[in-house]
Amino acid sequence: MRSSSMGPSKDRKGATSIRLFQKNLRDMITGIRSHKDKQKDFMNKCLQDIRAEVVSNDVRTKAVAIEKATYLHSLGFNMNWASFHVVELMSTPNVKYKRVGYLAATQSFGDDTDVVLLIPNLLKKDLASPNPAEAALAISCLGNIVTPELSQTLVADVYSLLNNHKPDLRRRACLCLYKCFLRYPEALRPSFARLTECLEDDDQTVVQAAVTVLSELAMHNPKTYLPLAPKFYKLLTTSSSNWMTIKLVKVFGALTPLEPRLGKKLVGPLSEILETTSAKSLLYECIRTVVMGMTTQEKVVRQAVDKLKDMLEDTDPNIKFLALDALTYLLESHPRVVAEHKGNIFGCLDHEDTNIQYCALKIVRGLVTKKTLMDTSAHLMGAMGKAAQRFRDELVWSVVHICQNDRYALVTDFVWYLSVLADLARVPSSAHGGLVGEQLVDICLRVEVVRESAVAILKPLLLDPALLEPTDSNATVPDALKAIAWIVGEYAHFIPDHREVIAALSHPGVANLPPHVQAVYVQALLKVYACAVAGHAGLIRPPPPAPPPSLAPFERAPDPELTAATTAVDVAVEEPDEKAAEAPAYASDSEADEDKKVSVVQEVKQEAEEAGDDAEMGSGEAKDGEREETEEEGREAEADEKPEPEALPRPEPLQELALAPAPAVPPMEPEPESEPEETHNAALVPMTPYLSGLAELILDNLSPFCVSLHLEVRERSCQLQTILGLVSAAEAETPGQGVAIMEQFAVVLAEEVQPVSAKAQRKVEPPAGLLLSAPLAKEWDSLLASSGDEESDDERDDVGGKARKKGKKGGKRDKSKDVTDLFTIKKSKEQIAKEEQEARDMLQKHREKMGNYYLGGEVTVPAGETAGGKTKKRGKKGQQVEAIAAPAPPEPVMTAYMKQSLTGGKMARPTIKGESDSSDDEQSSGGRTVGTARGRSAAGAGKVAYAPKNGATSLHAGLGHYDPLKPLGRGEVMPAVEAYPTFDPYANEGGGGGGNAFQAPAGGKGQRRQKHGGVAEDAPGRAEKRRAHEEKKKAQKAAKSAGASAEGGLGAEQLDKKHKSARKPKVEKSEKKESKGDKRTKKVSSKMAGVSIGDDV
Amino acid sequence: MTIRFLLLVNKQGQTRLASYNEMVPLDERRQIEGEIVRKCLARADTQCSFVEHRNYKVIYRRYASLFFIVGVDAEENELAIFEFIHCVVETLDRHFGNVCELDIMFHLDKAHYILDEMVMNGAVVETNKAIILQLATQYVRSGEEAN
Repeated sequence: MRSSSMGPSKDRKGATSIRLFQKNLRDMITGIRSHKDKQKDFMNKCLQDIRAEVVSNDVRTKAVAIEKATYLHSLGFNMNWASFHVVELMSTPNVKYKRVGYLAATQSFGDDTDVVLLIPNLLKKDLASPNPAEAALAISCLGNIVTPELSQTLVADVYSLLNNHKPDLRRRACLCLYKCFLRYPEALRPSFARLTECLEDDDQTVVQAAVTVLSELAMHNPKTYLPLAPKFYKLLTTSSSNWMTIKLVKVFGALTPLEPRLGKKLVGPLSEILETTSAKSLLYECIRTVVMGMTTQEKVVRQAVDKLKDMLEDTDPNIKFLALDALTYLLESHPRVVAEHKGNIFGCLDHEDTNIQYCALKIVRGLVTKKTLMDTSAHLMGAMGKAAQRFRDELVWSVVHICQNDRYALVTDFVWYLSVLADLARVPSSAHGGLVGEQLVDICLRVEVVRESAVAILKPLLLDPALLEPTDSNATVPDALKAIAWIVGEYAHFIPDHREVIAALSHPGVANLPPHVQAVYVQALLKVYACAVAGHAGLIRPPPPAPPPSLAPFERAPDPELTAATTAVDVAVEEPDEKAAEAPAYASDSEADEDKKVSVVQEVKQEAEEAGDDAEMGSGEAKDGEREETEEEGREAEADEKPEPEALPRPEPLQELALAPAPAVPPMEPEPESEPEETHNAALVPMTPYLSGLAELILDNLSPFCVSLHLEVRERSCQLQTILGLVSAAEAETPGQGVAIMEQFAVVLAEEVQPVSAKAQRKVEPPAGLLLSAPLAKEWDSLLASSGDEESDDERDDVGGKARKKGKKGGKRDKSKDVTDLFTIKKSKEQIAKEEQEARDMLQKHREKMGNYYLGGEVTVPAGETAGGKTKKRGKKGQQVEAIAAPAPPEPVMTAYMKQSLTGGKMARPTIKGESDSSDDEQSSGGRTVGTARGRSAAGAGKVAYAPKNGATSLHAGLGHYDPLKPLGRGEVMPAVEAYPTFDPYANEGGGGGGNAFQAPAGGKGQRRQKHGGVAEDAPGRAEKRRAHEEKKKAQKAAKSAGASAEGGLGAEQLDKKHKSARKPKVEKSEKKESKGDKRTKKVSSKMAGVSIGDDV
Repeated sequence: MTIRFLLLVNKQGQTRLASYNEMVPLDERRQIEGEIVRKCLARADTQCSFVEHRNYKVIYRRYASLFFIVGVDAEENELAIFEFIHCVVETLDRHFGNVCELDIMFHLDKAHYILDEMVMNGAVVETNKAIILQLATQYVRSGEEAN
């Protein structure tokens, strides 16, 4: 152990200034290497040693210590604690140690290093050092650690180095100036002219440095550097250094878009370089400049593309990638040219490098056309097999994206697209199951003709039990399955074999799916069964029979609510318990006192739920008088509303209504009101064994779902169970009645979902009194409470808030303790009446208080407030909430539909789609969905894509708006560097040898002063005023921090005083000046308060 | 400023030389290095040497067990940097004579000085190996003489 052997020797020597046995850097590195296991400990020990050594008076010891600290710093150990010693070392006269100090400073100093305040003078001295090594050190270090303050203090010294006779220092000064500009933009303008002169320097390396700096500046603010174009052009044609040519080409890349003539001029040199150069980097730079900014110059574009072709075929992945990258720029302007390389590009999709793959995919996406869509998709799908997980997702997304893009502009055959989507749904471990599902639903909703094929194409997916397994590769498959189940259920009349579908929908594996998907499955069961029964009845019944409803889609006026159609299915899942709460509320409310109707409620519950809140709100509104019979009314109205009179004649609901109670009452007492039923008895079709077999199959498989932990699933399956029980009971009573009931369901379920433009909602204005942006919940509560409401109101407010949201009595929520209770427990008449009364009272009270904010139509609501009810439908929020509140088992559409019918048509139907049925609306809605999908996918792509490059631009934030060429204009300020002369910095420069342009503050001011009198000096005069202002500020600052601020502040003050004394006599000498300067002087003197009062007077 | 930093990393992911041309706080350096090194080391030879990281373009080149990693602005020419890395390696090679990881470890300062001659404030100032070495040794010698 080296360190232990060192120990005694150290002790022996004690605190001698020279540590003979100090470990040097080499020792330490060897030590670190030999301590493989305990490197950290060893390094910490070394740090301790260094801490002891660094305080040594011996410069050699100190230097070694700092060397070691620097090494450890590069390994990640902080060395801020040593920064003072670093400065000490920097100030030693010996270049060897100085170098160590500067290296440490370069590596470890930052904006927050406090000792930076100590080094300006040191740097100043070293910059002016006759030893070029010292100057070079100082200048490199300054460039790395420059702060705005350092820049302000030292920029003049750096500037003076531009005139140094050593080319090495000149070029370093050039580059360092750029760093100074970045931190202190005001320095740019005075130095700019000299910097451009460097472009004509004798030494090529200096020219190169100047080009580098100017090109960096120009890249970020090209406009102001256009005047330099001729100089750059000359250099471009004469340059022999590839490095410089690359920079020049890059600058022209930035300049050409601003000046079209430049493009023409550049064609010559660029094509020459393209032809002759052997440097790939230069070649690539030229190509990039051409494809990015000179796409109008066909000749050179062609030439560049030829070169790109060679690069594409190169085996080097770097070259390949760059070629692809360059091609992406041509996609917009020359898609055909890019398409020539299609084979190559497709080949790159299988490349091992992901960068190349992504780039190729980007091009493929850009190239696809109507004609090539199918081929391209097939190719992309083929590439999925070999691709890695992430890229496969990207491929899936790309296929969907190119198809749905621009409202499915490229898709001509939607059946084909559906089969593609079906394949995509099977892609293992895909992350885009949801996207595929959305697309499926979207296509089925929009393109009527594909529905039959859709069911046929998607059925196998539904039947495949492998997809139900909860494996990783099926991660997002459930999202697609949800859509598939919905589609199959929705368009169940296209199913040839109901049995297998029902078996698949109630497959035990379904329990593996997420609850919201299960819920859709259960719902689909009902739909499919209802459809099977209705189809059967329709076949047997004579011609004008009950409607085979779904075959004749309703031409309904659209409803804004339906926008949610596609999403409502998911949305519904989100508040299952609320929904559960609604059911009993509804029941108790609408059933007033007719006990026997409890059963009706149960049967119709499912509609009630989908109609949810609206049922009651609407009923109140629509049929005030007959409110107690809401239930029947609701259903009737609903039936009425369907603009299909002969298909569903008015008597029918009555009949059903009559039917309903009969089977529901357990003892099966024949009901007196079975008259209408009899009139229709002729149409009754008895159940077949096949149908009852289906029902049994459902009932058998359903039992696990009835005890599901997920409310939504459990509720729906219990409903379904009850419905099937009812049907079979009715069937047992009178053959055919059960079928009739199911047919009614089929009618209800057959209502078609139609997409409506979300934009359409905006066409309907909300009523004046409604504040859509007003907070709905808690905030209001506290406001109300503080405004002196009774305590109890707080509660009620809360409830009311919810009620308002749901448009429903939330007061009943707590009553729904158990979901299954809804189906089993029958409340006594009194109980129900009491509950209802309570609820009504509560609501009434609340309405009185909060009437303005009530949306729904209760009986008591005055006419004006029904408007509020309508707006609820329009407000996006209300709409959304509604979809949540009414998660109807059949389909969300019914919500809107029933609501509307219940309100007796009073509700103003938004005119979106009904008015015109125009494809325009459809399209706009299409655009909408596509838009959001695109947004989503863009976000998805964002993850893959690379973060915006803000680094460089933020660096240039200060320089961006700074025009170095502009003459000082009115109100323009000369840069307020104290060290800067106020006269033209180059005026007295002459040979530029000895005189430092910046070193004449006092005299300079004086001269400036005298000039000030000249008429032409208007602008500088203003500048002078501003200067004065700034000086004053600085002076004040300096005065405040008096001695404390060692360099900056003090310097400023001193300088100020110097200025004053230098100016004073001159001002007094010239009368003319005095009068002119008077105004200014007053200002200055008043401002300069403590520093220089009376100086000029 | 184009070259933001240059890293020399061995195959185990240990940083052997780090030269930053902008101020980056120490812990952020460690973070960046960790992320970039992980990214670069994970790439196969058949993949291209350009990686994008945060707002840098990272260009790396592998020589035996050493990775030379350069972070540049987004506008920078990848191939030029790629060639520059080679130039650095050649220069080091010429100076140390068949440079290896240990050379750089034990002569970190010299490596820094040579690099300083080639890059200043993020710009490539000199690519002529002879001149670089001449300047570097000249400065070193001048220091020793003064000593």
